[in-house]
Amino acid sequence: MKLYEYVIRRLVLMVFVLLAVSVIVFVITRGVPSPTYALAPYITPRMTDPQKLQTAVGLGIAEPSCPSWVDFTQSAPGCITPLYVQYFSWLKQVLSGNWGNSVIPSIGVGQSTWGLFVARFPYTAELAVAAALITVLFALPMGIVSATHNNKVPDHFSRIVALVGYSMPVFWLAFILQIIFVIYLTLTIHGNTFGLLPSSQTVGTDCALCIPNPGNINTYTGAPILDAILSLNPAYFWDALLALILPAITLAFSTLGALTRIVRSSMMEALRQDYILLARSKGLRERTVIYRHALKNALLPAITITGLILATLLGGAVVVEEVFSWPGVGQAALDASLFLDINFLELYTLVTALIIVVANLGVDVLYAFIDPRIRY
Amino acid sequence: MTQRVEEVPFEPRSVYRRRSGRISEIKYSLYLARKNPLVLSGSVLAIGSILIAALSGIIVDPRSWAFQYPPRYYCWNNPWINWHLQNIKPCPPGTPFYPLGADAFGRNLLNMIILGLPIDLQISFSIVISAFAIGVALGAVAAYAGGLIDEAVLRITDVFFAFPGLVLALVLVAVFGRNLTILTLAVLVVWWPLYVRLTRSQILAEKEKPYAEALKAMGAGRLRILFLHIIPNSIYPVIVQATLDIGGVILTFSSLMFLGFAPSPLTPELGKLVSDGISFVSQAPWLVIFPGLAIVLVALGFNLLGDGIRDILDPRLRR
Amino acid sequence: MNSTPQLTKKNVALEVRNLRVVFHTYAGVVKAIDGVNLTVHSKELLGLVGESGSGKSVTALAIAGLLPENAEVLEGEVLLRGKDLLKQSKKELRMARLTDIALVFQDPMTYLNPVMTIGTQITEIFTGNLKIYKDELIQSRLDQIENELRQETDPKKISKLNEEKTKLEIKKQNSSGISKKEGKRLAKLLAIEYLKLVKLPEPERVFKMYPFELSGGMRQRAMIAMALVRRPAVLLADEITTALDVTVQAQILKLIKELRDKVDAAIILITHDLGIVAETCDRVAVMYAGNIVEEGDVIEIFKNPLHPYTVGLFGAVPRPDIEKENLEPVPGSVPDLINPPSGCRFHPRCPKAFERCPKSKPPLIEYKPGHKVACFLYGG
Repeated sequence: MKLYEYVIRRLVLMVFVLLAVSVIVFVITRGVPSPTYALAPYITPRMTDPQKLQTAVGLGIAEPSCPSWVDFTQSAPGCITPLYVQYFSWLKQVLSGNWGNSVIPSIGVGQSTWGLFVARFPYTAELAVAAALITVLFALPMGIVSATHNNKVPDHFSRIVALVGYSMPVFWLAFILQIIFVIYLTLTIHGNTFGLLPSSQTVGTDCALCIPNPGNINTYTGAPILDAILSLNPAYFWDALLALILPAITLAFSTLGALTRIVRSSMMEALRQDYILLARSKGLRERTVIYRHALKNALLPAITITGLILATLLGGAVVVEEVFSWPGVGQAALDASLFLDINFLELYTLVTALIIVVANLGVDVLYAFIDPRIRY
Repeated sequence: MTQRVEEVPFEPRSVYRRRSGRISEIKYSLYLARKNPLVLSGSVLAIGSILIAALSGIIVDPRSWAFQYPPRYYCWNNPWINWHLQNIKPCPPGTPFYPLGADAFGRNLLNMIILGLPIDLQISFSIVISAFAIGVALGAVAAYAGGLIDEAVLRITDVFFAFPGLVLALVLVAVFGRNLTILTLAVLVVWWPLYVRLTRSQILAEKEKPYAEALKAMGAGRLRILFLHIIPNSIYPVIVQATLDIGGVILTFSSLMFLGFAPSPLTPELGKLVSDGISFVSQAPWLVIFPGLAIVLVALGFNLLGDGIRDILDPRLRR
Repeated sequence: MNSTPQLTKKNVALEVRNLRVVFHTYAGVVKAIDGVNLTVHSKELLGLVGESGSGKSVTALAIAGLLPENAEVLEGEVLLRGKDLLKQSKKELRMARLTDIALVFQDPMTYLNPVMTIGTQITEIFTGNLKIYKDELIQSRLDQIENELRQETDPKKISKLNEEKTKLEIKKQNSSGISKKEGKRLAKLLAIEYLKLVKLPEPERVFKMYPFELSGGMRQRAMIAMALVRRPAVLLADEITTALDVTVQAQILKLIKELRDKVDAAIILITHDLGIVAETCDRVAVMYAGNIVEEGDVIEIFKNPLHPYTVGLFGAVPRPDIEKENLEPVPGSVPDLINPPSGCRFHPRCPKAFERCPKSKPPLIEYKPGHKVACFLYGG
């Protein structure tokens, strides 16, 4: 089978997985027996009963033949549209890009859910990419050193870092870092005391290292760092970078352990292989043996987990975004779940699922490029 | 003339492994465990936390979460004494009777941590055990039956793998409301597919081994081979994963509680304790530090244990 | 081929003196090699025979300095060009492996790196060490050009070759190294020459292929090319035919025999297969439980085995020329090397053991010229 055939097969499979995910989400969010759950976001109390019924019919929840709102809320026979019909009308709406409106008070009632999501996603993407970069930059060397110095000091050190990393609640680490960098490490400038780094928001201006008036930037992508680069505003870039440090480190630390552990074990596995003995017997430098012969083989499992980490970070930085008031989709999803904004939760879940499925496919395709043995 | 001198194949795990063989194997594992500092410290932390959680109602007055104790004279910052001061400061750690300090209501932080521990462990154990049971059952059936059943199970796990960490939990809690059963289910739903995959791959590898073929040739029943031979031989990595996951589930569950999904403001739980402390983080950082540290220690205990067990059971490192 | 081969009559390539190696394991200290003495000469094919676990492979690894971490060399000398390899630094040992000692292993599937092409795995020897291999690379290319010039008739190509020749000669005189790109090109040409030498069909194509795309025999040939391309003084071939089909085995052995005449390496052929030894080797050393029990010319030993173990070994091989009811296996099994038998390690299995055997260890003595044996039956 050719690579593109494999990719097409996987894409078809992907569509089915996403449909299944949408069914699950739909049933959970709208299939609950009481219709008030499903209607809560759309029908405000000031509406009159006929208006409410009209809205419900418009949403495809109530049958047009339903006599009155009272009959509908009491689930009189023939009033509530069957769930599968609801699903298909919902799917049609959703696929045409109509995800409904937001009801989250802090974010904006009545704004379109899709617009809200698109405006917030770049922040989450920026945070996730930064965290993934930090993870890879630290985990790869740590894992390699750990494997090559097995049971020696560097190994113990990186194992302990990894273990502590995945034993630490993200929310707690976030506060510890804030306590250190915002409350204890302070600088006094012109009589005002500032923490070393900003504690919240995507662009911090109230810290010792920040530049107070960074100016403005044009919105090209929505992600502050990228926009600052594209607008050629170094001061804004610096502030955005400083604001990114703490959340990104927090997020990275939680995934660092998993990747370090995988790199270590697959590297140790590779170093035990016979071809390493042959490479050594050829009189190659130890550096060449480790970085060329062992690492290339050990990278495969590491890539799988890196793809998954990036996907999870993109979808699930809820806690970090909440603690650092980072205006990403995760924070909005939390608010949505507190205020029962089902529209946003549906969109968020489906996009996250899409990202994960695409990341898995990307990892598998990347495999084929690195490992010549894999032919699909 | 190319006959070879006979080579005796070395087969460490023989078909006819006697019971005494398995017992000596377990004894050897225990010997290795005693020598391994990871396992030792991990089991001290893990067993210690389980003991404290089990006895928490005896060690500490269970009411001390909800009610304030009468003020202690030793703690000069206590709001009950210093109510007239503008600058109310919670009792700092290190004061007598308040080894870890107290919160703004004068509640003893150490007592609260001890009271918050059981719920985390209880829920974590129930989630991991259920995920383990579902995973082993489904994984074993999928791997052993193969064909359509295998494919169906795999596709179902595919769907659930597409929900990362907290996402589905957010949706479930939003719709069904905040109660512990829903929270438990919310975490379980994203956790079980991993066990199915792991068990399935383990059993698939084990099924191909010569001893399983030999048993089949001897006429042993399929279920007998599966339950008495293949599952016991391939389950160790799944057990290791379960040990590691107890820590992971505690982290996830406490995150949910931290995010404000606790059923009631009086639910004694460690993540909740941290989130209660954050409004005082600049005056009383210990209210955030110590409850979090308790979570770290418990999770670290199970992770160390799992890591150590993995080292011990790894056949390559064994001899 | 080589610049100045010292082809004196008996040119010692490698000498191992009283080598003792132990392994530290959970169960105890495994005394794997207990005083091995070996000498190989240039252009000689020495067979090292013994059961599995008798220490053949460990000897090879110890010579190349590639023992695993839990191994310890207690005493002994490995003399190569008058230098004791065991006393050298790590770097010098690496240099010795790079230029003088080459190993070929048993299973070509697991010993070749699965994600690198055959070509890269050969050329990396040179491209990683251009300073050392500069002269050799240039010289070998010059030789190739000479050969091609002799056959070439097309004047255009001749002038091109001549141009390259003059360029290379200038570079040869130059003290500065050659560029990476040039090194890669020369290494590739050299690698292809050696792939041709080991009789791989379409060497240019094989150069670009990955190990999994080759058959077992082809992989083994590639590994042999990889070893020979360095023009080593000693080639240690560890069970190189065990993983192969019988027909392929025969081809590889034939190749080894032919190569012995073309390169002047001393070849140590490690095997448990007496047939291979009889067919290919000049001399043979029999190993038992970490000791060399008998050593001598192949014909002499096959005709007139002295040590009871060697006699037993031959008894365990079916021979169509002698009619026998049953094969006679050596009784007992390989001893536990954690607590090896005292004295002669073979005495618990020896049919001719007497009271002296468990008491002290028999030395390897020259019983006849060119035939050494370690057994009290023959003096010592």
